[in-house]
Amino acid sequence: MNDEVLTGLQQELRRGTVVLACLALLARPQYGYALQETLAAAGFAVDGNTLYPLLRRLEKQGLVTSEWNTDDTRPRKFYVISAAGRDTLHGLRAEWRALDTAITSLEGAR
Amino acid sequence: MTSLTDRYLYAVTRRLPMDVRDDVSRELRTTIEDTIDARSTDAPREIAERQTLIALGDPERLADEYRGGPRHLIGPVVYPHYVRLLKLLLLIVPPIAGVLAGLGLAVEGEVTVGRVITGVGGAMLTAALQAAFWCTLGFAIAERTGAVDEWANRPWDPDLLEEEPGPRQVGWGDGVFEICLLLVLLVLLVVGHNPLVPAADGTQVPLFGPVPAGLRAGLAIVVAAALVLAVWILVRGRWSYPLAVVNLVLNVAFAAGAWWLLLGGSLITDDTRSAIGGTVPWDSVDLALRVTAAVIVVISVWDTGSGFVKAHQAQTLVRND
Repeated sequence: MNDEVLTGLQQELRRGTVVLACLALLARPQYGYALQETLAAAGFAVDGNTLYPLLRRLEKQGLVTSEWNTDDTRPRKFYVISAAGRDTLHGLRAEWRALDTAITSLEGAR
Repeated sequence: MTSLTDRYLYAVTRRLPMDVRDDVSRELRTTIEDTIDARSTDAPREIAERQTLIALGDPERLADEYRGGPRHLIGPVVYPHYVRLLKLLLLIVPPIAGVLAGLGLAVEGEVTVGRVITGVGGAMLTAALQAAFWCTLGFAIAERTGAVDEWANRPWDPDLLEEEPGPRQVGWGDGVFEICLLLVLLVLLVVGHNPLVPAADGTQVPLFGPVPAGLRAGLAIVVAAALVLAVWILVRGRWSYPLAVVNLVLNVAFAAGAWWLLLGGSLITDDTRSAIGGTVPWDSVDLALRVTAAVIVVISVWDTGSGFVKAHQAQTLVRND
């Protein structure tokens, strides 16, 4: 029973940080499937049904831009971080570091 | 025969807006095929395809994600208010419609118990459905046009807090229902419909004999008085001992009057019985009349007792204020 609760909460935690992870990776243009693989390899496993709609939301919010690439037999949509996205990434990284510091100090001040 | 992937893409994109449908379909197809390629290294292609689609999950939910969240007619922010308004409307509107229908029938003249039930019942049901429909539609429109979002974002003000209401003994729903019942009974007594039934010799005879005029008027006055009492108690919210005594008197008068009416012999006279003939099981009819009279007495006794109990409870409520 505790396992389920833990898994659920861990998912919540990851859900809150998947945008940060994506923006960090999209410094270089990437496409959907490759992005998922890279995230997984780096230790950040995300479901496809979360990641792919998320990329479109980020595009709608202006944090990434997309471009169709028809070089291969399969057409691929590449996403890359935009200027606004870089600013946002900056802000999110700062927030991440602040949270890390806060939690560490909370644990320390027992 | 289309492949699983084709059918999956159709399921995901068919309810998406036109402008993104093709784009999502193209991108998702490539992504699925890339994933299948990766899995195909240690599984046959069909199984890899199946695993990929299972990992992506229900196409309807994926479509929800692409669209930006699940759809609803009336959202969670405003739903409690919708339910409250709906309940209020259903308590107020159908009884009013029923009363109006009942009065309309009384004015019309041709009143039978069957017509009262279908007429009043039909009016109440129609009114209830109309109220529910327009209420729902109004809220749905507010949700769609974004009016709800504007309203939801207004700053909360502590001045909006309501006082806790004093304890009520009679709920509005019960009270209104009882009033409607009494009204229907009053209409029936006042109009005094006398149905025509076929007699043995082929003619039509009125079923009920000439009831002593004073009896009918007396019963009508008692029911009218009970109606006034019910309204008074509903508005007041609580019983009291004097009101319980009035209730006792009215119940006794009604039970006595009903007993006399049903079992006094003048309801269905001997002449009428012989005119209608022996095909009717008169013993059963008499038994039914006696049972009805007994039930009325039992209800009257219970109602009187209940009135006094509530009056007593009201006293304790007052002391605790």
